[in-house]
Amino acid sequence: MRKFLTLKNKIYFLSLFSAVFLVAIVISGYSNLNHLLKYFDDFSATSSFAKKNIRLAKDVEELRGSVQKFSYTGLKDEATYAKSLYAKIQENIKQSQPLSNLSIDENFKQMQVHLEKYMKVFEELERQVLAKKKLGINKRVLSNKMEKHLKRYLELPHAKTEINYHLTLLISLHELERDILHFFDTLDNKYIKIIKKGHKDILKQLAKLKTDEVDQESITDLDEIIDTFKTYSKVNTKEIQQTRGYLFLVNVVMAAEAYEVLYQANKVSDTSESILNKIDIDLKTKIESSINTLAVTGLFSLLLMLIISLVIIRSIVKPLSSLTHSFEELANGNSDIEIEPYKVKDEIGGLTQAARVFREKNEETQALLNYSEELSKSLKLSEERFSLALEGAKDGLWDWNLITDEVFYSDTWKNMFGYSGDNVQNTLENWKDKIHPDDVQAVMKTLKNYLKDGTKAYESEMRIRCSDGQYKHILARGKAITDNDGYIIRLIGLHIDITEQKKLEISLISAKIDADNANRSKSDFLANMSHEIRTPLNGILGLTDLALKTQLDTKQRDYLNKSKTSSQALLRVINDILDYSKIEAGKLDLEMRPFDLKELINNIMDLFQYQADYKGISLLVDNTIDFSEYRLVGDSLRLTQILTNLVGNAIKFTDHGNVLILIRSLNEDDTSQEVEFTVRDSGIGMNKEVQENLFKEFTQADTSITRKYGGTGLGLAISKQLVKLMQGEIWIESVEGEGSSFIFKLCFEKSKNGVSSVKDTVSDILSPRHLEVLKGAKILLVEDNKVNQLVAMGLLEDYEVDMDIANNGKEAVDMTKDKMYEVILMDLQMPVMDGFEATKLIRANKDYESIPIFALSAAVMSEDKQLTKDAGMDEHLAKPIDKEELVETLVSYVT
Amino acid sequence: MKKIDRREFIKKSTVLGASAAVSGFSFPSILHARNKYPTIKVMGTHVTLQEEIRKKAQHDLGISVEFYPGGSAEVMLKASIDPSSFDLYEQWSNSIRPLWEADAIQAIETNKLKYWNEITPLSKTGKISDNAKIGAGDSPNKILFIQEDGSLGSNQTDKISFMPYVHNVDSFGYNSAVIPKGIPYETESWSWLLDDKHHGKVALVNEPTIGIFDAALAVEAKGLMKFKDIGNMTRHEIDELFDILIKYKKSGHFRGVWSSVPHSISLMESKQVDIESMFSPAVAALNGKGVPCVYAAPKEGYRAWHGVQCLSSASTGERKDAAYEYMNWWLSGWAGAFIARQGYYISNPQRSRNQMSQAEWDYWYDGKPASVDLKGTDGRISVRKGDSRRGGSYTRRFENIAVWNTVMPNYDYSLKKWNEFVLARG
Repeated sequence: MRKFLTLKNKIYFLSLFSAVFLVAIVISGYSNLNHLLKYFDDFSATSSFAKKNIRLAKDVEELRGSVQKFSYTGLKDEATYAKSLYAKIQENIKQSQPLSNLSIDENFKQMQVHLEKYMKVFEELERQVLAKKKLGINKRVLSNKMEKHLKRYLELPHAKTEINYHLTLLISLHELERDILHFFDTLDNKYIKIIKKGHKDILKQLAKLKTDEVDQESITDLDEIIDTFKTYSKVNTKEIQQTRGYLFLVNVVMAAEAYEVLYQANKVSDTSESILNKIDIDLKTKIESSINTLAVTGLFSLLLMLIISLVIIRSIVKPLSSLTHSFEELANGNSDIEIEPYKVKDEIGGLTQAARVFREKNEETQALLNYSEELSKSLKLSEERFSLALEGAKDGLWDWNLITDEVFYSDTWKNMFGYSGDNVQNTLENWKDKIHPDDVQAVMKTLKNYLKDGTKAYESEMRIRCSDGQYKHILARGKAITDNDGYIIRLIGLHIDITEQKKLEISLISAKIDADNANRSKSDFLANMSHEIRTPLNGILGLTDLALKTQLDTKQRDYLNKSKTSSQALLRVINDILDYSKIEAGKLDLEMRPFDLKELINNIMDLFQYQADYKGISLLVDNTIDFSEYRLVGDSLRLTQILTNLVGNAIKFTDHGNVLILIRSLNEDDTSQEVEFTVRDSGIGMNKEVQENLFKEFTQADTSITRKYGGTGLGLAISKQLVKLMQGEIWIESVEGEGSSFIFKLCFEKSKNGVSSVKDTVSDILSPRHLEVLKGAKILLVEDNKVNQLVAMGLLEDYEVDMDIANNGKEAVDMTKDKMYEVILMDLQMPVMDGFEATKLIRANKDYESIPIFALSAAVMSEDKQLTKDAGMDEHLAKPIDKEELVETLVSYVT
Repeated sequence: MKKIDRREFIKKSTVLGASAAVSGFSFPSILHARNKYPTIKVMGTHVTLQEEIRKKAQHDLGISVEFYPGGSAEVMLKASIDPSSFDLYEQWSNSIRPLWEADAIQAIETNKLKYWNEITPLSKTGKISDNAKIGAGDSPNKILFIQEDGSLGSNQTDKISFMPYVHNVDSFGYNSAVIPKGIPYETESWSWLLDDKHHGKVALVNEPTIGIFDAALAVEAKGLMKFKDIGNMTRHEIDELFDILIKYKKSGHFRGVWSSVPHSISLMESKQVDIESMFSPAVAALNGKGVPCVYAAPKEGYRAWHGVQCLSSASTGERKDAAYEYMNWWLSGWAGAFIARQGYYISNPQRSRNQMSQAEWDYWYDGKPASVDLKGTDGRISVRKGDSRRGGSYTRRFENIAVWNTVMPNYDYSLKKWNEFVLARG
């Protein structure tokens, strides 16, 4: 528990206490000021409110005065002014936010209620005053009318005899009007009776006049006067009542409402005044109490600071100076001094204790020194033993002290690389310098990472330079040693010579590269070879065709036909091999073009119809898909290849019965169509074992089959690879002796506006138009092979073209400099200069910028076509050259 | 009169209609006749224009009754200017003179009033009993009969200006929680209104024809001045009276005036006022709210008022007939009993007695303590068992009338003075 009272804690505690006290003073002061501020706010709000209220009362008084004026004068302007005043008062009431005082709120509510009532009554008053005004006008009109009649009547000659009588009547009328005026002037009730009596009297007099009158005209006149007077008297009565009515409104009803409004306004003033007084008193009290509080707390804090200072001096400064003295003595070697034990267990207590211990432990330290010397001796012995053990092993040991940055390299290590102890320094650089420059970066990275982590074993491979300059492959293995805090202080490990292992590894890798190269050479060889074979074969086929066109006897024709068939068979074999090698080398790209499946099937049917007919079997198609609305997108050439293979096989292995091509739709949606193709035959069939190996390359059902049926045995393997390339699958269902079904499924995209890859109509290439167009056309054939030169010339013989021949690209470039050709037929692979280079140079000639150049090539893959296009050639014609295609293309370019 | 009583006639027709329907005949014209019932317009104040009364009258009479209630001044002005706006006008006797002078009302023939003979002497002579002192001002008898010369007077004729019906006496009310209860007719006095003890807590009714008398009675009782005839003050007297009142007002003695019964209630309920002119419904309402308001029986006597039912000068023919029927219905018992439960008296109380329980009659008319709890017209208990009416019986109260509500000849003059009083502030 006493430990809590350390010096640090004491100071903390005292500071905290002072801080809390100061904060308390500040808070109390702040809250006092806030209070004062609030009072002040209340004060200013209330006083501004009171001012507004006084203005309000004034306005109400003015409103009342205006209303009073209006009631007497009936002036419209006065009414308008009263209304505007009312609006102003309403606005002021709205704007003066009532204080949050219940009684004032109620006063305000009442004020508004009565003000509204007042104005409501005012509206009624306005109506009445206006009604009265109207009555007044009415009355004057009637009065004038009466007087006019009376005067006219009095002027009649016969009436003059009754003049006194008439004068009395006139006097009565004037008296009546006088009485009416009296009433309005004095508001004396008695006049009402007098007026009423006056009405009656005058009516009586008029009646008397009428009875005395004999003259009919005068009687009519009198009747009119009587009627007018009756109306007049009614208007009089009404006017009196109306006057009384509005006087009641003004003097009684409105007065009371106005008084209520003023009363409430007064109340508000009184209340706000009393609030102001209260605030005033509260404010004074609050300020006084604030001053008192501040004075008291100020004094108290002064006292407190004094006490704190005393405490600090007593508990810290005094013991510290005594302790300083003791340490000075001890430093001077005076260990005999008496160190007073310090009772409190704070930092000073600790220091005192330390001084005592320091003095007492001097002797013990000496003893420890002796003991440690003994220990070093035995340690040296054990080290020697350890070195001996190391010398026996082949691996080199190293020990890196990360604190001193010294590295110990064992003798074995030095021997391993042919160094002697003298030229090896105990530094990390010694090792680092010997690492193969190519390895340094990786090795240091591994080391750095290990030192960062240090959990697993350190392992790294590198080449180390030996004394003779040779490098040895080394596997370094090590382990970090950490201190108590987990910091790595040492790294100990071995360098193991793995040079022999490495040599073995390298030879293995080069063997693998050799094997790969050999494989690549095979594919290249196949491709090259097929090209080399195809070129002469093209010649043979072309020449055979040309020869067949000449006059021949039957035997010659038969030989040539057989020669052609054999050549075609050879071409197929070579194509197969080429395809397969391409597929295997991953070089086969698929074309994605819309095509007409129906047309494609028809072509296949046409192709095999003759063969089937020849063998006496039926070739049938069952297509359940309607392709009238869309085309499929895919590689029609490869699809044809697959079907040709399968149908060809089926016909080949079927001696009677039929071969059926079955086309079924599997899955279909808006964008794609999955199609199942089945080629079913009623042929020899095959057993399970054969079925399993069927799709392997160079495999046929039976070796005897090769002899009987011929073929490369690549057809099915190619078909399978092609189906696979098209993301489909192919399989076989077969029973030996009953027939086979080859089935494959492919999924195509749909194209609604696709174009057929198959021409709808075959134009007649020998049409007069073609002949005319091509006649005399200047054509340059660039071809190194003499046979192919002959073939090409033979193909265009009928068209009388003007053809020159260049034996290679170089010749072609030269020839184009001297002569303008309309078309250039360019072979691609030629000695001296190939077709690509030649095209480039020809195109550089401005005159030949847009002259059509057709590539002639046995390479017919899409990427080949792309290459020719990139080189600036316009068309790509496959070898062996198809006459029809050549002619059509020429015609489309030659104009 | 050879006329078939309409009520009877309709009853007969209904029976006939019903039997006719059974026998296969029908009289649709009679059934439709309901739409052609005459409609009478009754203008007046809320005191008598109560919905229950209208419904009951319609039901009993088979005529349509329309009520046009409004404030005293408002209806008065409307009636005096436009007699065609009503058939019957129901207010206080102080409205009779102006209406008569304005030719807004016509004479009522007593021989057409079924119960004319039952009407008590109070209305006809101004005295409910021989002991009674005749009140100052326009006691009903002075304005009831239409004289030969067309003026209103007390000489009995068979033509009257109004049909006497509802009437009562008024005084002031005080909050007995503040002001100690006095003794009726002995210590309770109009002078209390001017007692300095109630400074700032006094209010008068804002109606010169009424409030002026409350004030005058107070001034007289206080001994501040004397009137030659309190019911017909001279201009000089009026000036003097208002000088005194305005002095009081300016000193802050009066809280103010009240313009409606609810206003008078809220003034006392909110303790703004401890004593004020009062109408009996306000007294009942305050007691219902727990304010122990006492309706004083001043020793100087009450200020009495008499209800009048007048016939419009514009009412003729069928509507006039219907108006007479309505008047007769009012005195036929039910209505008298109905308003008795609200503290008002009817001019022929004996006919209403049958419609009341003995306990009700004893309390309301005889001034005896209630033998059971009594219900008001709203169905709620308004009188607790054992309570008795302040001021005693009907007779006792009307024997002590100081003045009747009156439109004095100098009424119009007093208006201006009243205005000054109302607005006077310290």
